[in-house]
Amino acid sequence: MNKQMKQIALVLAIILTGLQACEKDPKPNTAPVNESELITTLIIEATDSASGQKSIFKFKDTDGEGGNAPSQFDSIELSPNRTYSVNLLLLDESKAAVDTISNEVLNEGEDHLFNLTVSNLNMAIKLNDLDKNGLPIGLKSIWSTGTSSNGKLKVVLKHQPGIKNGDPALGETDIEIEFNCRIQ
Amino acid sequence: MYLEGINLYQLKKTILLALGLFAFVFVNAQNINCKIKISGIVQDSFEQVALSNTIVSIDSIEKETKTDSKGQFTLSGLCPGRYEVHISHLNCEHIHIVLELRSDTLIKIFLRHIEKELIGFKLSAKLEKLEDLNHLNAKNMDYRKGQSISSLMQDIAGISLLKTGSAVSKPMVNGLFGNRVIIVNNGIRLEGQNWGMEHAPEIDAFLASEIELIKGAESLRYGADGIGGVIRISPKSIFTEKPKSLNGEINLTGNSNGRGKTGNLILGGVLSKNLPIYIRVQSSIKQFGNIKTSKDYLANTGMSEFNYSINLGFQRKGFLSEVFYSEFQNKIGIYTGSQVGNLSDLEKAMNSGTPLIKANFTNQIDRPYQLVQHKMLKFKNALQVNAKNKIELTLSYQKNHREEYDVLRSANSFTGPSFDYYISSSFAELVWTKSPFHKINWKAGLIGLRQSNAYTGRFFIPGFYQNSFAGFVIGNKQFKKFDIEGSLRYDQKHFDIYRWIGAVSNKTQVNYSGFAYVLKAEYQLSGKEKISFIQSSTWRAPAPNELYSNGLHQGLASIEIGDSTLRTERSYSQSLNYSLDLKKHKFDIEGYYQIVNGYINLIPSNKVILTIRGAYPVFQYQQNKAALYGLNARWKYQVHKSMYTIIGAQLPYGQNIDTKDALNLMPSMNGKLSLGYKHRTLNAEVWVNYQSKQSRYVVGSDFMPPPEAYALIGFEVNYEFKAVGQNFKCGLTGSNIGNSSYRDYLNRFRYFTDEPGINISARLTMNINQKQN
Repeated sequence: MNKQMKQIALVLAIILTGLQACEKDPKPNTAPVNESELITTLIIEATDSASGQKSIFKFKDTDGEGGNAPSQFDSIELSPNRTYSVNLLLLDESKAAVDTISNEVLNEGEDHLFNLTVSNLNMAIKLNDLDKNGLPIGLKSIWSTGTSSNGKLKVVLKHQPGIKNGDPALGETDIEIEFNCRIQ
Repeated sequence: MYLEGINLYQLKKTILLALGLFAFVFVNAQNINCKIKISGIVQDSFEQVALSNTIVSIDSIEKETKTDSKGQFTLSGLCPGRYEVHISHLNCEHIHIVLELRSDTLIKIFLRHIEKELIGFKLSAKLEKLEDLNHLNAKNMDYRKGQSISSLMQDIAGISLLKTGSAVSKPMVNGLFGNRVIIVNNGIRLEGQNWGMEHAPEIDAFLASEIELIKGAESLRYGADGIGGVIRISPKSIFTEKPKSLNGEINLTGNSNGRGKTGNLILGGVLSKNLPIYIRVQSSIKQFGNIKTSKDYLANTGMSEFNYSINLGFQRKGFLSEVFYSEFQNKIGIYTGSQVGNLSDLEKAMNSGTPLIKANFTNQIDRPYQLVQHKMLKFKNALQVNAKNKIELTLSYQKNHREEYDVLRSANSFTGPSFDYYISSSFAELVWTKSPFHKINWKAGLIGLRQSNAYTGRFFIPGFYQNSFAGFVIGNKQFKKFDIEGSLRYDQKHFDIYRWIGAVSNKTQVNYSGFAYVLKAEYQLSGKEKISFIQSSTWRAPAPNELYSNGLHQGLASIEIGDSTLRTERSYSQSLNYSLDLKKHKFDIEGYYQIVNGYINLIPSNKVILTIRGAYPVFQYQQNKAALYGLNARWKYQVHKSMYTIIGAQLPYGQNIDTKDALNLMPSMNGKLSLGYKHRTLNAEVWVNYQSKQSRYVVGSDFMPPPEAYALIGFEVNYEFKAVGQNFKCGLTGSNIGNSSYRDYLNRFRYFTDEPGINISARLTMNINQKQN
């Protein structure tokens, strides 16, 4: 190698090291920041309108899709021939400061729609809240139970930005949970 | 020209042409005993410029000289006999020719003045480059200006495209892709997020002047893990710039589908004759709006791209130095309907024949989209120590930043990317070329790489540091009818892998090392027939995603789980190539058979994982013994002076030997029939592409069975002319001109949408050549 080449190599080595040193990019050995949104928990609060008694049922998977299995997945138990006033609460419990996602869903009600469906259950569900366009959201609902039965209750939340017209088939699925449900 | 008698036959015609070298040997008067003189002139084959400081040597008698400023040289005092004459120029191929000397001889040598790392008589090239199965030259590139780098590659035999929608595609070589295919851009191995199926190579297609698929010994220079192959993309050498003139090119293209526009400008020159600093600057832009299938516009399928590069060169006597810097940046819209929340969404999208999201034309790109930035700095130095020895030192730095923006559930919750990866790579390579040494042309090198991969946002693969070292030796020897080459490479790779659970990291160290070799023998059956055989053993370390991925694959509604116990993959490959070159017929056939032990494959398990969005199917990385085999063939028939037809076919197969099942995601049998017309500077071609239905797949391993077979018609017209003192090239290309609705098995968006409908693209190239005083 001649002198000229050595000099150039040295200058470049300095530039290369400099370039890498100046970068403010994340490093493999520092903890990554994940600010993105996650729904980890769905809480069903069912209040018996006659007795005022409140029952709580949960689905909870704090590390989101994949990873560890859901840490809590309750069965829903209701009494026959009652009327329940139901509130749905969505949380992001993956972060230290728990985020109440249902507040966002309410604020952007015109982009979201819950669809609650039952199978093999004697129960009727009516959505009981409206977005600013007069279409239901589903954070609040009235559940009317009939005689004893054993079946499933499916909770689906659709994200329908700009396309919401009341049709629950539209949009992308944010939540889809099928609870075991018993009326007795 | 000086013409007195041509003893062309004394040169090996085939070797000569294979190199792109044309030598005319002229015999002068009689001469006796050891007073014979060889004189000649060395020129650049591309621009026909004299090449000074070219070393011409005859090793057997230790005679050596250099060409003067006019490119001329003389070697005198030679005895009659057979000599091997070596011609070396710093940034051209090193070549040698065999001369049978009886009298004073005058030779004219054209060197390929392109910066290619060739050793001796390498290149398995054909007599006419255009027909080469594995090679695309500048002319092919001219006809395809404005296309993406991957679509440029698909004319090479054995290359298919693995696509994600219409704007993202990556090359697949005989069914292998991703980390198994090495892409070399401008002499530097491209280091991006190669592992992802939806990650396209980050290369500005306007810079490519040659693309080839390297399968011989030379491939090991770039890595042992290119078990599918090495695709080398070379720009035009900076040292083709000439003093006292401003050279360049302007390219403009327009496309009917997506109303796509591209533009490119290249300008170059030499600072002054006394200060031989070569300069070239280049920049290109690209913009496409929503793409239309045969019936519908696809929502959010636009893309935009902006690139620039600066290239500086310095050359004096036996020394050259080059600095190249480039930046690539693109934003690619991802079809809105492809971002499914869960399996029921995916099923709904698949069962709908038309796109679920209706759209009109727009250039606007919304979420979901990808934003990719790739920067590359290269610094190369070469020193021609003497006729036999050349030393090259290359340093490079690459930084790849990939951001993926998913659709947000809430418009105001978060504005950043959902997925954000950074990979930076520093690379050093020292190569020593010694030719010949004990009658063998040698090249040996040492390589070092340090890489860091980090992320923010959603986890998909862990962060890591990689430190790798490698050494290689390549040798090549010619016999009268034989050409043998071989290479050996050793790699040592060390990874420090960081997996984060909250703020706690789980650090794992892994080491991989191994040897790889390639052997190639080529036999000249006659001047018109050639047969070659390649045998190789290469290996690849499992990639971090194969080891540790554990998460949701957005858009495919599936969960991918890595396996930290995966071993390295070891490939044993052999291929046989036969080529025939007659006046009217050119024929090439290649058969290959490759066994991969521990082939890492993503296989559906029968497990499902319960999530808040429903149950997701689980795909797991597994290792099996796999076989990949097939045939690639091409036949060109010159029907008439100006008419020709080309038939090409590819028959690739993949088999999982352990489970006796077909490998998934293999290209199906395909073929192309073209009819061409060439008269002076007009060239027109019409073709039909046929892709059969993939019948070899494991039922139940995919969400949807492979789509039906399809045939597409396309055409191309190219015309060159002179106007206002400059050269112009213009052209028109039509693809899917029948506006057929079809889906492609290798497009991951086959679940959601049809392929693009008809597209007509027009292009114009103006060469700039301004002489200055």
